[in-house]
Amino acid sequence: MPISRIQRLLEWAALLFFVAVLAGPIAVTVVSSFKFERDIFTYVPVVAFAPTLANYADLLRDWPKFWSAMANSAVITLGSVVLVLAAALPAAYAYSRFATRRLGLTTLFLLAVRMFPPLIITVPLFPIFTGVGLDDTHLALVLLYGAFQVSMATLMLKTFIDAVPAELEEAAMIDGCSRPQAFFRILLPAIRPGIVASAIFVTIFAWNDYLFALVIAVERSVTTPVVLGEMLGMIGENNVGWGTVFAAATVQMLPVMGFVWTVQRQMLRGAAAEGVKG
Amino acid sequence: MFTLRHRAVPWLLVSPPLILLTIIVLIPEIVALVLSFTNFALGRSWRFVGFENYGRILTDPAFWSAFRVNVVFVIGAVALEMAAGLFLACLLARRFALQGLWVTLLLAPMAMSPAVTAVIWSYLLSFNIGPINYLMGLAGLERQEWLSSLSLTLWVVIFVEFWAALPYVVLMLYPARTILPQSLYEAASIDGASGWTKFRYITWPLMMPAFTVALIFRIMITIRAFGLVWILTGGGPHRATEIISIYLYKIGFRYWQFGAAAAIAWLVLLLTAAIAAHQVWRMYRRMFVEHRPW
Repeated sequence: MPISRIQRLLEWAALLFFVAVLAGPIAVTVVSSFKFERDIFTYVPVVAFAPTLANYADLLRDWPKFWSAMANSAVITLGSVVLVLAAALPAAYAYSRFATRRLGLTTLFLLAVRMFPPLIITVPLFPIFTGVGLDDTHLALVLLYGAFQVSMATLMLKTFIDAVPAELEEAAMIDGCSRPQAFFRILLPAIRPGIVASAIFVTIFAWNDYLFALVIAVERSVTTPVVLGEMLGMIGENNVGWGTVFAAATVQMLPVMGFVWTVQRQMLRGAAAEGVKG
Repeated sequence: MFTLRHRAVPWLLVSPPLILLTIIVLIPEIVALVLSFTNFALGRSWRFVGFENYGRILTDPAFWSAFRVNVVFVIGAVALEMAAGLFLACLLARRFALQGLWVTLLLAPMAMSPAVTAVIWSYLLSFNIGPINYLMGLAGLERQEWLSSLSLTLWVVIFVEFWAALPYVVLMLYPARTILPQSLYEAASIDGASGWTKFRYITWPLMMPAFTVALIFRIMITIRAFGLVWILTGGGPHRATEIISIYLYKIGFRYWQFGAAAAIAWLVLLLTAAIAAHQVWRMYRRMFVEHRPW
């Protein structure tokens, strides 16, 4: 066999090795969520098994707390995306279109503040939120997630707006559009991929965060990752089995995976369509 | 109100993010600094105590243990993920059939919450039913208490952090590798350069800037790791995996000593500030100075 063939084989082997290491554990978890407890609780892994939805039925019946946490996570994630886009879009527009040296300097603040380790602010925020009656509310987490994502969203949207020639909006304004109209009708559609990408980053952060939720959400606003952590800690007691926890983990991860996947496809299709139109 | 001529309009437009960050991040930072000089604890009267908190922490063996564990954790995880990330970026540049599928699968751990990652690896590494111990048995090796061993668990936690973080490194390095001009490699091939020579004299120097940015980002992010380690081991066994964030969390939210916790927080902040300041300045220059928009 020539050396180039051997090298190619080794490349494939390395690729499949890393795919197995990174995606394999996730696949095992999702697959195991469809196993009966007796097929999970064996020393020798059961590969051929009768699939069951029993774990999901258990999750539905025994864990109303998990489902209310899912609802909390959904509300908080949606709120965070809306807050970040509402704050970041106008700011990104200003940074791109009205850039001056002094305005640009404020991005130093945006960047610097984001570099602080989040754990630091949890210490004073807890008494502050309690003081203003925001403790254990959805709004508290929305504000936190918004604050930690708004800088990156602003700077990312700025680069997208930079790529759209200002002449487009100016032409529309000469044709009688007001500046806000030009912003909404001309610019927003042009930077849709950037808006989608920012929304994805915020969604992943808010949906998956554990630290802030653990400290701020005590009961009413508790989110899915915190409940998942509790469930994991209870395995073996109170009849909490691995199967139920696998089902919960699968339900928690699926929306984000599905969301990212569909949106990616849409973005690819959108890009392809633009290309055809020329 | 919306006339360009009005000089206040741009400032009005950029103010919401600035206000949000001031209220949610900056003011709490300053409050934390003040708290760190008090003996503040929930539901108790408090007074200023000077540098007492800092003195107590800097003489607490548990802090230095956490500091050591944190250094090993950051160096171990970041070294692994940067090396593997660079390797994968170069490997993916060789192009494979179904490239999109492989990239998607390699990036999959990015969508996982620390809680889900902890569930996955708690099961895989479980002593009794974990598939990894089963594989150890097949290979004729002894089963291990992966998550409660004084000598092993820190390395296990480093590996899991590596698993969760590798996709982020690939996401940063893969695009940087794909934009390198193919002509350079063709020219080198014509001159008879070996694969290693091409990597050493083309890929490595040209990817250095992206590699440095990714490295600094990963160090900063890994220093603040918390959730994954907390759910996986709780910092145990004993203090074998107790990184600084867990030490802080216990003092702040287990013992409710907010003054002391705030002091730890500011020590962490000072430790990361040097790295962060450099990075912020570079990003600012890249975005606003090097191609002046004004």
